[in-house]
Amino acid sequence: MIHPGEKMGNEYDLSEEFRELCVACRRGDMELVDKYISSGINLNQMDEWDYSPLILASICGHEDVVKLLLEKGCIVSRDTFEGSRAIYGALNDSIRSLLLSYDITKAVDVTQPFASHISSLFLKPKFVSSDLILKLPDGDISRVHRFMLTSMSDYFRQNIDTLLAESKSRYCIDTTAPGFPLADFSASSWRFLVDYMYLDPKLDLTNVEVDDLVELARSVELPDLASSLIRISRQKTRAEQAKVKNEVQRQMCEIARGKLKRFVYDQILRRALVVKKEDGPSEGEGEDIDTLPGAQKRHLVEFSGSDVILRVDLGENYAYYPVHRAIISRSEYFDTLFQSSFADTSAFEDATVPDLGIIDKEFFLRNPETIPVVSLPTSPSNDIEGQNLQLVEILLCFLYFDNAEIPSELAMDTLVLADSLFIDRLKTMAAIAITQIKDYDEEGISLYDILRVSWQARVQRLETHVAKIISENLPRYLSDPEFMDIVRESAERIQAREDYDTIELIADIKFYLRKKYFIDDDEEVLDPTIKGEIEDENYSQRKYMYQQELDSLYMLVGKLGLLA
Amino acid sequence: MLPNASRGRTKIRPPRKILSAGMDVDKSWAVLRKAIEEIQHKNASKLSFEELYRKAYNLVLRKHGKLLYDRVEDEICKYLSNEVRLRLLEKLNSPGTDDHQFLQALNLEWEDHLLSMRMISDVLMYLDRVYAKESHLPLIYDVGLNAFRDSVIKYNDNEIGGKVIGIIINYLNTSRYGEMVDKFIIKAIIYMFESLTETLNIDVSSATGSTSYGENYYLHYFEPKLMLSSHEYFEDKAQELLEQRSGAVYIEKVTQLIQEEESRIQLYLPDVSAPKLIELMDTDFISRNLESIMMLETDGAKSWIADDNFSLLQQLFTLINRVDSEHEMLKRRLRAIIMINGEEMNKQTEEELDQEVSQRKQEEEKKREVAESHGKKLIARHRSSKEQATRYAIKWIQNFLTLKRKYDAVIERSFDNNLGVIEEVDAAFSTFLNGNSKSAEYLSLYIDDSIRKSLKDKSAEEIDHTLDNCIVVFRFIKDKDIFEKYYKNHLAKRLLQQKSLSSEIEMNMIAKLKQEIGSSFTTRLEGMFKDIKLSQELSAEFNERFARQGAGETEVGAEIRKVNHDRRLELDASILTTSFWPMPINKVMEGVQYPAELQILREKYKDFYEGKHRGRNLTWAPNFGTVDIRMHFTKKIYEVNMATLAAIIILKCFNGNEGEKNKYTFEEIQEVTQIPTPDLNRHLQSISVASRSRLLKKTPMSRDIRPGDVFEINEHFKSPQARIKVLTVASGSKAEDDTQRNETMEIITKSRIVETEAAIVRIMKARRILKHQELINEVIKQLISRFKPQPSFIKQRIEDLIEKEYLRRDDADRSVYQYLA
Repeated sequence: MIHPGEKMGNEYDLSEEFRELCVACRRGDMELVDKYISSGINLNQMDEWDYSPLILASICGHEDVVKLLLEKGCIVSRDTFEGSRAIYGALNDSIRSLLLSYDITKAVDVTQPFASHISSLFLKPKFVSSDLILKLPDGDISRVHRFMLTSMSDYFRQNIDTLLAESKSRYCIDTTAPGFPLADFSASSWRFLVDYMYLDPKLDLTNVEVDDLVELARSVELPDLASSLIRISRQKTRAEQAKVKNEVQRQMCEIARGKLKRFVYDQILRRALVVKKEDGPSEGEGEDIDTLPGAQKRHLVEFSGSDVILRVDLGENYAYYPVHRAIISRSEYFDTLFQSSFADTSAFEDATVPDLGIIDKEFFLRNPETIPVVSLPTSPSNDIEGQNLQLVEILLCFLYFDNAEIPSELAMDTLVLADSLFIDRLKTMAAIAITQIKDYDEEGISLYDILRVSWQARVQRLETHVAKIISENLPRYLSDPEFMDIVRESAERIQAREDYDTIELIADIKFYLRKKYFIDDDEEVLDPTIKGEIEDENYSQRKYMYQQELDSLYMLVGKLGLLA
Repeated sequence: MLPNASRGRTKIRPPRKILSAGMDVDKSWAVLRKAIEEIQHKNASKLSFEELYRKAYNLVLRKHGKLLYDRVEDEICKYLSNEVRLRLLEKLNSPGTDDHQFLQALNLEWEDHLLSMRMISDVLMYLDRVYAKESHLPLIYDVGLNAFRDSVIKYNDNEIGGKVIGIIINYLNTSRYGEMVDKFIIKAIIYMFESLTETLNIDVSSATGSTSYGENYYLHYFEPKLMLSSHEYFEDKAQELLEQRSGAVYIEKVTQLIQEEESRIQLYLPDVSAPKLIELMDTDFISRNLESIMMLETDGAKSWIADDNFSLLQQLFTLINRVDSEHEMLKRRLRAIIMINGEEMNKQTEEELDQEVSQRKQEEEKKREVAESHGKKLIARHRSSKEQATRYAIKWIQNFLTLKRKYDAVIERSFDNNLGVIEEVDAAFSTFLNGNSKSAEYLSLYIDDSIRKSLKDKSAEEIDHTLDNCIVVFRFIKDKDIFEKYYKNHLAKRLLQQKSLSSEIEMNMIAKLKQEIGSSFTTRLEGMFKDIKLSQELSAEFNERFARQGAGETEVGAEIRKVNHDRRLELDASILTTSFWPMPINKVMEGVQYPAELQILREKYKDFYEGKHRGRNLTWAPNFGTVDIRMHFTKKIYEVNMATLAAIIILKCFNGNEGEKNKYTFEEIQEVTQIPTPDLNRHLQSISVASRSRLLKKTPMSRDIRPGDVFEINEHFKSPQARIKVLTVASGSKAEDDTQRNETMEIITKSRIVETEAAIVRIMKARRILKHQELINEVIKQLISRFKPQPSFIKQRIEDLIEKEYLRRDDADRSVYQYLA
């Protein structure tokens, strides 16, 4: 059934990551699957037993995971071995019809969240963040971002100032200007190019002269675009085109991710400025005043095309990063900040070129003291500067290119930071990172702290995770005085909510105890008066142990005076 | 992935904020309170979002969410009640402020408030996300909206709200009388009202007590007032228009008012109210009054139809369509009007006929005067009442068609070819048509007249059109079997007397009937045609081969010629299949004595026919057909065409040679011919009384034939033409009189009995066992294309069949029948 030359779907991926993705697909762990998808993993591969993530999710009956995989570009086709296996193996008809409804010609969105955000900057911006105008050969204008052009294309990075000079403007790249280096390309090619750099996933070749566009792509040093175009245009059927487009989209995302990563490290992290606090370390409550001199601010933003400075409290020092409003507004906190009319960002109104709807960076360079400085709502908790810097790195890498690798020792801080900034996705990634820690003692992490953080940031996943670990080694925790505190805290939470009649933590532990001893849900209490058939020794043994542990748990609760 | 980072395995401390408890709640709140105040007084440009967010964030983290939430709410309410509300009341009570300025001031306060709330809720976003959501409380922004509702609009028993509602309703009313009002401010205020949600727990005082989810201030307080004032306005307007007592004015004005009101609704009012207000308006203007408007005597629906006022009727239809997609009101009126039209049509037809008669009388009067002035005497042509009835029938059908066409035009041009209306009009026409028990006969007469006379020299299209019209009427007739009966009679006469204009028209008519109702209806009609055609072929063969006379004479031919005094004698026989034709075999005619000339033809033809079709029985019907006789009178020889029976009289009694008996009494003639008395009467009348064909002289000379009358050849017979046609008295297609009708109905009832029983047997044979009601339904279904049998009639037939042991009742269930093979 495997068609010769069919590249997708029959490659093996034996990496650890792929193996974990497959496990997540089997378990139906949406958040984890989502995490791996956003890491850019190729979903159309197979593990060593010829299972693809889609087949696993569909035979295990996780419809939501199947849907997610399909939406993110998993290929299902009855004509292929994998496709037919997924369809015939589907656990129920609902999944089967879902699989059948996903024809390959159907448009899927294989782009990653960061790519969608970038596309939206161009297609439907929420506020003015562009700083350049691109005047197309047919007279239309596009509003673009200097940092996007320069990060995506080496050509623009090296030549953007020349292009502006040729256009005789400080913010308009005029392709119609006399002597403009990239003359002679059609407007539709330019449009396609801009769409591509903004990661718009359509890749619609109708109305495009491929040769002209390929030439333009080469001129601006986007060889990947050129080769993709040739590949797409060579496909004969719509289905084949769709298949290749799907692959190109994924590639486009990964290439862009690489470029943005380089940009973040070269233009943001490396340029970060660490300055000693003038009044020594503050305890967070004292109001920080923006004290960075104009000249330094100017120097900071000059080369990265940035329009806002992120200040991070390191304890002894402040770190300043040149960042981009367009990108950090992925955080709902920053988005609200930028769209509100408080003093923080009023400078942008002054810098806006009224009729064009772009920001004039020259304004900031001429009046560097007005360059807005924003900071994080919560200062990093750690006094170790290196770790604080690392935390900012995690944040920026996530915002710019969806990097979700969170070292275990920073996972808790990341979680709190993400919560305060309203970045749900990063919060989930951090929570996953915490659950993936093998040994909390070795990492020096207190389970109780994890529980507290999960309460604070409202992460159900973590709450149950902790309950599970406790239930697995209940006697040890029962003897821990800190455990009593945490049970009390859990009970207090109930009073605050008034909505629940049981202590959540206890209920969760009980649930996992039952799992641990394989106790049926309806037979949790061992009743000695019932003399039924002799069950397997093992079972009554298990029941006994279950009851033992449960009793001691209730005893503790009773001791705390928390039994109703 | 993360370079330059120290990866020491230091013990990880939990985020510091959780541990550090120390925080001055009041100090933080003071900052936030101040900020809220600044925002409300539009001094926000100096405030730092970051700082305020961080304060709120930390308060929430330290579990002061409830405190913060409550204090913020309190702060907002205080501001609205103590500042905004008082400012507005001041405006309201200041003599220098008019309504419009007040609304603008209110709207400005509202917009400022929204802006403030947007900013306040922005800095409190963590409070919203964590505390409000988890405690199932409204978000801060909504707290602000609710506060505006309670602390400004509804405060002090809806003080400001009530005023505002009054102003806007007043605005809408003035706009109804053509004044311009500021639509922007109305829209803005209504939008504000819509934004203020109403919830159960807050609005306890509400009289209705049924505030449901999604209700808002607009729906709860504004809309009821709006509906009330609109209702008053619509009612007043409608009353004003009704008083003019003119349907046309009412419809035109209402159409215009509705248009205006709809654009007003679109201009000022939200979408939720539009359907309600439009419904109210439609009820007040249309549902309540339009039927009585249609019933107006002088300027109502009836007169509009009579005047072909299509555009007004169309407006009427459009209006009714707004309130009822079934148009019941219109249907009711149409039905009633059609019934009245029908009555009027009956009268009109009579009047037309009277007019025609008196006109003809006048003309004849004139003619007579002219003739008398020339010294001649003319006898007024007597028109029988039967002829009158026929004229009436034809006119009636014509008038019916004219009326139907009128309604067709109205439906097409004014009623949008609405199917429901078409059905209703058709039903009304059907009721009217079938209400006249003679309609089936009328139609048959109309067709008869068309095919005999009125279609002469008409183009193919005109003919087709007329025939189609006949089908239109035919479609309405319920008792199709009655029509069939009449049609057959009329057709038979046309065929036998060769009175049709052309057989194409006949066939065309039959084809149309066939298309309309199916071939079972027309097989017998077609059979009649076939008989005539075959008869013609047979006659030709008989005359030219079997009994050829003259050149190439056959033996039979010679024999016949000899009997006929050496003159040629031919026979044109019509062979009629008994079951196709409406005339029964007339036993009375069997005894009729034929003269030798006819006798020999009869015998020879019989031989000829039996030679061709062995075993078929020929029964002769001398009461049909004609005979051509060359008669020698003293002055002239005439060729006379007369009915067969008349010919038998002449040939039997008055064809003697010189010196033979030439005077016969009535009784003698009867003795000789054996013709039954009524027929003899009729035919003697036509050859001895009718002025143009007085071949015999009757003594005494009276109109009527009486026993003892004496007849002899009228030697002085004179006629301008050499060829004469004797018209038989009471022949031709004429409307039936009542006795005949009763006979016809009796025949039809008999045939219905047969058909119904046949249907029952057919059904039971197939189904074996059937419930009473199912059987009745099935029978009706089978017979409906011919007539609609009453269930009692069917029941009687079932009883008969049970008696005849075709069926029996089930022993267990008496309502079930079984078929007995």
